Amino acid sequence: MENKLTFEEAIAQLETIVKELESGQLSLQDAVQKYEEGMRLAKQCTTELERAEDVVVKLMSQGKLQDFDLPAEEE
Amino acid sequence: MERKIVTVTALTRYLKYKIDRDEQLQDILLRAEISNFKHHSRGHFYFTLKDESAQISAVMFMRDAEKILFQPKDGMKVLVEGSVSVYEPYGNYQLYVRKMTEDGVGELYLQYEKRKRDLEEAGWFDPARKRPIPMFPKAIGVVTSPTGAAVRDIIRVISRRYPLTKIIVYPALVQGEQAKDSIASQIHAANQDGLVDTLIVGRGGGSIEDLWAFNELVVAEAIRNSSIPVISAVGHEIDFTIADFVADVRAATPSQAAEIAVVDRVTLFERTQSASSKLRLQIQHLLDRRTKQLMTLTSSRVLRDPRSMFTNAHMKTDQWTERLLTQHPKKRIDLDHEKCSSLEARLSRSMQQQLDRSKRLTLHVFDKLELVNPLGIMKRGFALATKEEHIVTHVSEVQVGDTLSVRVQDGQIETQVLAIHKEDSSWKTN
Repeated sequence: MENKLTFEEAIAQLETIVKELESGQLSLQDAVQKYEEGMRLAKQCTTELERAEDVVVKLMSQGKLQDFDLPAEEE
Repeated sequence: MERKIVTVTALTRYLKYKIDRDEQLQDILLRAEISNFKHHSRGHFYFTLKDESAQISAVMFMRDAEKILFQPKDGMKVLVEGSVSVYEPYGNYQLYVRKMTEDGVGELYLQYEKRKRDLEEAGWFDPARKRPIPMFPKAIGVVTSPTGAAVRDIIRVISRRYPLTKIIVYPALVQGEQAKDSIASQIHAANQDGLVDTLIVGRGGGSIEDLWAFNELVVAEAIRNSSIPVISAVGHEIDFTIADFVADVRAATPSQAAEIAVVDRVTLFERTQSASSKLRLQIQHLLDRRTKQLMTLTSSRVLRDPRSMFTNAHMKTDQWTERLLTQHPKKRIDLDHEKCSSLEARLSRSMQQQLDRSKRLTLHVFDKLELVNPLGIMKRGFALATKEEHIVTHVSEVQVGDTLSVRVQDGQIETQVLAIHKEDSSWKTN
């Protein structure tokens, strides 16, 4: 289920969980559950950030998306 | 030889014809100083252009004069463009000015300044209009030349910082006559497509003419009307265009625009690390706290030494017994006894005080009695005369030859009356 979260959603949720834990209002059982969920989110974020792929670039031409070839460096 | 006689009109027309035919005089670019400037009520300018050693009359008609972006004044150095012709009614030649700019300031620069001022007054640059750039864009639209350095820089920076997004290039002409419409229509297209949540509009560096499209009103309008937040990225740090002021954020360069568009993944990585280490710390704290609580409970005296509960009860019983004993009857009698003897003591003490007071009083009285003691008076030299045990107080009580006893302080003298002298005053007092 968590895999469907975008990076933005995942890190936002992670930070919310940290705040909840820091409030000290959670029962032990809830705290442990939140902790596990938070660690799962942290792992998801880290994995996504570590993906070293190049960004996907498209060219919009006559209302259609095409692959975009990076122009060569000028000498 | 007969000489031909001509009219003034004919001569003047001939001169005008000669001058108007001269190509050199029809396209003149002149650097000069304005003097004798008059702004005619119909909108024309009449003035003189001069230098150190010559001058020429000049006129600029309303249709050209109203395009001027500054207020001409006497003494102002200008560049003018125009042609020379003759004004027949006055018989003078003059310069018909078509364009005029302040010398040293480019015409484009003046147009830029004027537009900037107008749009600023119209509220187009209002900070309240600026929209935030999304922190995590799903896709970034780039309106620029698909072959320029700008697009390459943007792609490189975004790939390095945040490859989680996508880039869609909206190719546009960024130079020349058609650039303004090309840029404006691509901004519009990106808004129509709705595929991107951030737009970068720009190009690499160039001259003011090269960058001019980004000063055009149609581009400014397109940026203003874009519902997608726009980052402008035109030229270098020193280049400012109208597009920069209308955009939600101005980036100094295309690379910087990319940095503004996406957060660096190193920052995000640190954010994630910080969150997960906080998580670990919090759960550790919580477990420590609970463990400590448990230990406090298990080590409490009640659990460790249940008999202590009874010790406490014992102590309480003892306390109450003690208090009860003070209320015993015998204790009461003892207390009464004590009270009695205390009262006795107080009584005898007060008796003694009374006696002392009486004693002191008596002594005082004795002192007073001593003052009237006849013996005391005798000590001071007085004597007491008696006849047959009666104190003699008047001369009438004695006769010559009577025997009188005279008492002095240390004894008695027997005497005989030899004479009696009665004093008159005594009579009166008796």
